[in-house]
Amino acid sequence: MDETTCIVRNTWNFSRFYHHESCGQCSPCREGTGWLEKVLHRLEHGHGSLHDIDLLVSVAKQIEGNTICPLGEAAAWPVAAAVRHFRDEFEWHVKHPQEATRPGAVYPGKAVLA
Amino acid sequence: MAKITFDGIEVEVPDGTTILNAARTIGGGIVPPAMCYYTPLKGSGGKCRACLVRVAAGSTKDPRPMPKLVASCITPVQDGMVVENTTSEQVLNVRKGIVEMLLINHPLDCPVCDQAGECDLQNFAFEHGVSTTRYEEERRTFEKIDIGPLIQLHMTRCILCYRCVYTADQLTPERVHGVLGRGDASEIGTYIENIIDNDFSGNVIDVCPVGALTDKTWRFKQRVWFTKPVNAHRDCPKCTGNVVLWYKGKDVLRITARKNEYGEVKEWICNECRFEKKETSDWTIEGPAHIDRTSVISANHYELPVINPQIIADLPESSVRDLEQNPPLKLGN
Repeated sequence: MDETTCIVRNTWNFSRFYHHESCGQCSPCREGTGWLEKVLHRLEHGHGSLHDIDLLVSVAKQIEGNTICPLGEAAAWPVAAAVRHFRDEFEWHVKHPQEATRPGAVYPGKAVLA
Repeated sequence: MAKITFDGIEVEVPDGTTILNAARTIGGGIVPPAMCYYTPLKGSGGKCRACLVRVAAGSTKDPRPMPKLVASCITPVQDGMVVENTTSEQVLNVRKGIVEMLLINHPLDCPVCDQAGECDLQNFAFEHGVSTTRYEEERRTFEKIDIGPLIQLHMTRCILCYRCVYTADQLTPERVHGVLGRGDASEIGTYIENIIDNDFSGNVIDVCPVGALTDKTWRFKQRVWFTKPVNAHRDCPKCTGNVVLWYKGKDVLRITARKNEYGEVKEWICNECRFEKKETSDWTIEGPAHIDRTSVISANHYELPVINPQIIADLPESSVRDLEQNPPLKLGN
């Protein structure tokens, strides 16, 4: 991963993994991981809105700490962290969907130096 | 014995009791809701996360708070534990989130659902949830699965509490009923569309908190709040024969097991009692079944109100005489 990686796509990929891995015993993880994946899918494909970014944080908060096993946290934290550190890139996906969904699109903003 | 403080109320319970059962010995509005825990079923609980509570102090020996909210239905008490349920803002907010999570893939077809009126999820959402949803995507749906002539399985409404799985496991000698798949694609079923053929299979209808498992002899006949529950018994060679008959006029529309105030079955009943004996002459009637005052079923007001004797003692004599002559509610017809 370098500065050309699309954070939204990457986060969506994380979510897709955890959605697939969720065992389905406890309700926050079973329903929440799928929800996160669907919202991120929407953002990545240029159909998202600015509310969706806050929705992601809120859903992640509803999952973390309330599940039986740590898979819930593992699914929620990358999403919450991505929004916390790269909110501008999420907003770019919402405001410029055509640019952002072009194949090989790279976010033109400054790279975040940790 | 362990002494715990639950929402500021001290209670002493035997060692090994769960926090939820300790709260139930206090009773009232402070009892955490439970969607998957079911006292008669071994191993149930811990799945729905509706009963999460905050443990502010673990025990007398180690008074540190627990880092995460714990499921009260499976966490045993320890001496000196301090538990917060309704007094904790965090718990109430988390519970709102749980309602939202349970409802996002629930069809919300209460107007056509036979469980409406006695649905645990309906009560839970009404008491603890918010009235709006933020979920915009398509809800999960399933084809109806045929599991026999008596029970209807409608997976779309299922909240995967696993109660029916434990019931089928613990009441029947061989396992025919379980969860297939995983994650949000998991579904309750018999592999593959086997008919559940057992004398006690009807009990899965009673334990289901939602309308996923319903009685085929009762489906779409009547709304539950238009029927009148009456306690009755009969001599049954297979079960205790203590049931509730649900009357509409003179017809027995449905027979269920008796439930306690938390919706838990007191005694399992057999399929013969449940599905076949639908005549008043089959039963010895005991009297109206008690229904909680807050339940929509009690809208029929067939039961005379119990007046607090202390209130009567405080009333002037003329009012007492008046009350005796004209009781506030009369027996329904």
